[in-house]
Amino acid sequence: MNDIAFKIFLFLSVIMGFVVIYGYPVFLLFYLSRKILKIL
Amino acid sequence: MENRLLQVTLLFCFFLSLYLLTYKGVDAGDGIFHYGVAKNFILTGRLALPEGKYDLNKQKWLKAFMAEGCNGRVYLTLPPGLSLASIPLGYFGNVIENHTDLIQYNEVINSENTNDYAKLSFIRKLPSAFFIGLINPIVSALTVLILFLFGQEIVKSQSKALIGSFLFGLGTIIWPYSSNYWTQPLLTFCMFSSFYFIFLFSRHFKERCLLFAGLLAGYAFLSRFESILTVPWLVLYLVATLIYEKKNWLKPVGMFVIPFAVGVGLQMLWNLYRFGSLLKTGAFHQALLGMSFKANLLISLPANLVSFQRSLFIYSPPLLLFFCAIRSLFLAQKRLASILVGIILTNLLLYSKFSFWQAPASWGPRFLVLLGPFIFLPVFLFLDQVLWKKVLIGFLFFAGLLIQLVGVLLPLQVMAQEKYWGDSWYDPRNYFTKSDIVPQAAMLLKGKIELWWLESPIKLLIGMALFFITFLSLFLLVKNTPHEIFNSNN
Repeated sequence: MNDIAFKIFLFLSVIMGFVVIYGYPVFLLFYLSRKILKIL
Repeated sequence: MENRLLQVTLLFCFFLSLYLLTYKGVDAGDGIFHYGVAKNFILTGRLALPEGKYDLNKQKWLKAFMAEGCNGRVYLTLPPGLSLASIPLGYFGNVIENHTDLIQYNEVINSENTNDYAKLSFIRKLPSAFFIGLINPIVSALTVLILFLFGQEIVKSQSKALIGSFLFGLGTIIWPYSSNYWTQPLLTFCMFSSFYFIFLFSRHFKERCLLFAGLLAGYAFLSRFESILTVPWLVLYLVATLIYEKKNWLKPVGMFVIPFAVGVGLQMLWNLYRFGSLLKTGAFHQALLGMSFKANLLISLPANLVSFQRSLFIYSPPLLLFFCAIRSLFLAQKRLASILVGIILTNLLLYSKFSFWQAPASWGPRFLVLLGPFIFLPVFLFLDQVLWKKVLIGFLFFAGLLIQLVGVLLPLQVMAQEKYWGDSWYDPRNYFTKSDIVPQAAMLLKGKIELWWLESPIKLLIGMALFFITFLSLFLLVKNTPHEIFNSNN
C-alpha cells in the first residue's frame, strides 16, 4: 500500500513539477531554436 | 503576438544567462540536505537521505530537518518540492560527474581536517551539485518574465514593462537568491505566477488560466507549507471577480481548487509513505507549533522593514517605489490592489512572527524574498518621463544594483560575518545599527570574487558564451521594443 502511495506521489509530483517549471522555458527555447534555424 | 513572444524569449535569455553567470549553488545547510535527497534519488531511486550518512541519535540537532520513517530510513522533513524539481537537472550533472576525475574534490570533502565552509565550497563544485542548484536561476528568470507579462497587462506598455523588469531583476534581492539553492526562489515563482494566472482569468476569462494557477499554488505548497496561507487570498480574488462580473463561480473555483488540492494530496501521500499517517509531516515545526511563532513583533517587524541587517527595502531599494505607486493601483484596480496588500501583510506578519525570522546564514531577509514581485507590481504605474521620477528611479536602481553585486560576486562570507558580529548577532536590536553588507563588501574589496567560470579555461569559454548571449539578448530586446515611454506621459 505504502509503495503504491510512493509511486503515485512520485509520478504525479514529477509531472506537476515538469509542467509548471520546465514547460514554459522548454517552449521558449524551442521557439528560439526554430527562429534561429529560419535565419540560418 | 509574434513580436511579444520574441520579446519574452529574449528577456528570459537575458536574465537566465545573467543569473547563470553569477550562480553559486549549494551554500547552506538546507541546500545540502535537499541536494543529498535529489542525488540519492538519482543514484538509488529512493527519495530519502543517503543511508548511513546522518545519525539522528548522535547529532540531535538534525531532528530540526530530518526524521526516521516507518521503514527505518532517514527522511528530510522539509517539503520535497525543491528536491523533486531539481531531479531532471541532477541527471545531467550526474552523467558529467561520472565522466570527471573528482579525486581531489572528494579528498577535501571527506577529510576530517577541513572545516565545514571549505567543504561546502568544494561540494558546490561537484557537477551533480552544480546542476541540481541550477533550478534557482531558471525559476528566478521565469519570475522576472511573469512580472514583465503582469506589468504589460497593467500598463499596456512594452517599454514600461521592460524597464520595470530590469529594475526588479537587477535591483532587488531576487538576483542574489537566484544564485543559491534555497527554497524561496521556487516558492516566489509558483506563488506569484499563480496570482498572475488568476489576474489573467479576471481579464480574459480563459478557464485554463485557473488550471495553471491551481497547479502552481499546489506546487508552492509542495515547496513550502506556509504558502497555504496565501491561497485564501487567491480564492477571494477569484470569487470577488466572478461576483463582480455576475458569473457562475462554482466551476471556476473548482478549476483552481482541484489542482491545488492535488498538490496537498501528493504531500499527504508522501506523509503516508514515510510516517504512516496522511497528516504527519515529521517536521520539527509541526510537533512544536506553539514554539514556532514566538517572535517579538515589536522588534522583528521593524527589523524586517527598516533595519540595516534584515530590511527588505535596504536589500531591494527599488521596492521603496511601492509607497509612491500603491495609491495609483488602488485608483486603477481596487480589487487587485486590495488582494495584493492582503497577501503582502499576511506574509509580512507570518514571517515576522516566526521564531526564526532572523534567517541565519542567509543574505538579507530570506523569508521575504517571496514578497519582492508582489511589492514591485504597483511600481509599473509609477514609471513615466517626469524628471524627478526618472532621477528617483535611477538612484534606487543603482543603489539596488550595487547591493546585489555585493551579494552575487562572492558567496556568503559566513566566517567574516561571524567575526564582524561576534555575540552581538543574537540580540536583534543590533540589526538596526549593523549589517552583513559591511563584512561582505569588505571581502569583495579584498578581491575575494568567486565565479564558477573563472575556475578553468573550458568554463571560461562557457562564461564568455553566456556573456555574449546576455549582451545579444539585451541589444535585440532594446531594438525590438517600442520606446513609447520616451514619447508619452501615460
